[in-house]
Amino acid sequence: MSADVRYPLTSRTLDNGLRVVVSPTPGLGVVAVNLWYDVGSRHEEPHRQGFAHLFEHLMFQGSRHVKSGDHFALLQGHGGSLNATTSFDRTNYFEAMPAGVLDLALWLEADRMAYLDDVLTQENFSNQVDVVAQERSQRMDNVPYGTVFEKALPLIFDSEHPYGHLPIGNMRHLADATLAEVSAFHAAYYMPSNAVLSIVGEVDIDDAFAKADTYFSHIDAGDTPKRELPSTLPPLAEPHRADYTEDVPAPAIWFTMRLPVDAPDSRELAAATLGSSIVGEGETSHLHRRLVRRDKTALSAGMGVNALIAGNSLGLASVRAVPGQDLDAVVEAVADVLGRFAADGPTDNELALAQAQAERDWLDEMGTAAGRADAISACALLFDDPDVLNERLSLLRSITRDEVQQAAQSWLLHAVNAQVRIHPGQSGVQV
Amino acid sequence: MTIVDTPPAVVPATGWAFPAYREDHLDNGLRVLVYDCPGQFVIAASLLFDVPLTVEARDIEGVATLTGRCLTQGAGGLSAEEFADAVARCGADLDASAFPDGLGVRLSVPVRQLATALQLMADATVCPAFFDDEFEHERRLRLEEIKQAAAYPQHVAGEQANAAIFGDARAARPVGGAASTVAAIRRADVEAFAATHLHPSNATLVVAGDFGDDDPMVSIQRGFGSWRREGSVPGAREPARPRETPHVVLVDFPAAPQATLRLAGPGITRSDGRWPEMFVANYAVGGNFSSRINTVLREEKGFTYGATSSLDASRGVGLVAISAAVRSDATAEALGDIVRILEDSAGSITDEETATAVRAATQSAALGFERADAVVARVEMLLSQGLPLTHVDVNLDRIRAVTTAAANSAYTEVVDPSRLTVVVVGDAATLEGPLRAWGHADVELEIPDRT
Repeated sequence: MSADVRYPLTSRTLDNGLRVVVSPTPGLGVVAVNLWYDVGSRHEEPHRQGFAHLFEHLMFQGSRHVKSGDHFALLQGHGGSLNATTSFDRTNYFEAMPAGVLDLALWLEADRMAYLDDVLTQENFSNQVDVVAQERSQRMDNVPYGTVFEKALPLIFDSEHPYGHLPIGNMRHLADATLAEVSAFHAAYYMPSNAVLSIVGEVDIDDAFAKADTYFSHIDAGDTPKRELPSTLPPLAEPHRADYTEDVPAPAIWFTMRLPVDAPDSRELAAATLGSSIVGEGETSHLHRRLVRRDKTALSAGMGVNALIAGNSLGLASVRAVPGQDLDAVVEAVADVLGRFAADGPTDNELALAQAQAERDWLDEMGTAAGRADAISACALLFDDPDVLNERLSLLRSITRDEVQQAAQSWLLHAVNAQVRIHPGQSGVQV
Repeated sequence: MTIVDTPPAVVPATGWAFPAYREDHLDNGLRVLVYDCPGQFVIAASLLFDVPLTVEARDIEGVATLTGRCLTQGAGGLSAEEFADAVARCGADLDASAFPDGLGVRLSVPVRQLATALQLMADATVCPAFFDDEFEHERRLRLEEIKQAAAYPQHVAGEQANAAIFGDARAARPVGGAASTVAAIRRADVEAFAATHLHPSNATLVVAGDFGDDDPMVSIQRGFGSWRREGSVPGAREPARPRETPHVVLVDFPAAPQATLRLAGPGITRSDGRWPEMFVANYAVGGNFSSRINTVLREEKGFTYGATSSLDASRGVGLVAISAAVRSDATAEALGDIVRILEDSAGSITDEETATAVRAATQSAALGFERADAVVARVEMLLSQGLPLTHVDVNLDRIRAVTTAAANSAYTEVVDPSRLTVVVVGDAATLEGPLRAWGHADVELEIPDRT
């Protein structure tokens, strides 16, 4: 029964500080390797927004014993699938492959952890600056509403705050960056003691630790950066609003929220997350029923949570309005939905429903070795405790109606205080 | 401490096979396929109807899609909101959608709620309410969706390419219909579509996951056993042949920072004997990160975040398609590079590329089917394309046997770069000149009016 699903976890720390977690789940012959480094966009210098993500690209450009492009070519060529992503708090590197490719994967990861900058050239560096600019265009600048998130963050975090800018960053900053900065960044953040390594799937525990030792233990420990986290900011008390006119098909509005910080036992964030699900996830949600079904003022409406560790998590709600719809009326309805929810709290049924959906999401994520490895790395790196993973479902199930109502009153209710409105028209900023 | 300075040896995986299935038939003719996937506690199910989009009347195209949307908007005596609540309460996700070869009702649910969720899936299929107001609401949302989608360059590139390539065939027009045809759909059309095409003798139910000690057939029998409905079974399908004449189409997205490219031409279907060879050739040319096309366009020139070529196949229809979003001022050079790489690839696939593609395909198989929903999606594809259920394993065996010579000969036969239709979605004011100068295949540049 899924209620009892738990994954076996064994942890050890190498002498150089690398935390290794092994979770054997034999069956399909598949193994996943996943490294989280404790560096993300929140660690960037103010004049180098986007550097952590650019750096992640450079990790595929070769290292002392690996030619540029070989990381992808070797692993894909042996049936592996791999990539890396950069977020506010962390950068992760991951691959999943047949069990017999595990050594190769660990060797490749170790080589770039140890000796990335031996082989980097100005040409490779400039090329990836160009590629990242095109990534930004494809994901954001050339997509309707694609830059809204970037516009919304400054309403709730000032520019100095760790979450004041997006990981994709500023392309001018990246164009000004130098190869020397890449070496400095590697030296500052890419060392065994600033990372966790998860090995999951068709693997024997002792064998996995022995392999981790073989490939990683020669790497110098380095000076571990100290994790400095700002204190939690209260919800935004005063309204902030930014309006833009863009070439979009319908008026739309985004609301951002400061939320409780992520922590292993954060009942408050868990309650806010379930509350957000009740208010804004799927066809049963309050926002959908009010705006899309009853008022018929919106094409879609939703709310979601990004769990983060530096002071606050982040909440985001959005409404795509019916073309021609006045956004003031939409805001009024959203405020009404949030106000009622804060006043009444969820029903037993609504809470059960949100918990059931969260359970499916969690089980879905656990359905692949790669998904489990990523979740294990997250708990190990952010909380220094991989077992947080196995407690996740029982935490969500134990949240009460009162806690959700309290989270709605304390946090969700303030969503309307940070608004980005996008109006259809010729592109150009207005105030 | 020794440092390993050469890549460690790899031990190839052997013995993987696509999960086995049990087949059953209910009295009403419903075929059931059950796949056991140990450790997969979210069950995936798909009820697949054998109903190609070509059955839609021309003036109400989109009726299959809209029928799918309406199935879950109230059923089994429940209102739309009650039904949505019931689905969500068991932690399930349930929806239905049409695609060129069929219509699928799809369920995803934690195993301990399977019986309840299957009953809801059956209710949506067997006794949908099709309430007037829910139908009107879904149709209105579909119409708005069509307008919204027109603002997304990738979407537009795909639709324009299909329109240019398939002429008057159904495949030329959007799966979900156009604004004019969706506006013409009435509730009675949706009801008639369901009554005619959604019946047990025209359907296969595929379920996969870790059922523990429970037999899913008990719940399936309870939900679907009393379903009695007769209807039509589709006749022979007319394959939609891509047009031989290429087109070059520029869709104006003023001031777009990128040009979104789609080049497409005739390809092959999965039932074509050359599929394994074409898989290998395409893998080398544009089918993976280290491919010829991506290496030049991304890793050498930095024109794009990624460029890929793919073999797009449905039943009876195959395309070779290349997609990339490139920096706007590099558009003509990128197009020239793509066509040149395709031309140069004729006869030049190497032994190393063949070996890599074969290894990648055969060694990655287990990884692609860890989850129950991946297994169900593949079975759905096999059924809807009229392929045998043994196809996954057979295809892998055939890929293992592909030689470089065979890959080269299939590629040369199938891919004709001069017959590719080219769609560019971007800033016409700056792109028109370079595209005219490029002069692909001596065809006139078309710039359709977007309004």
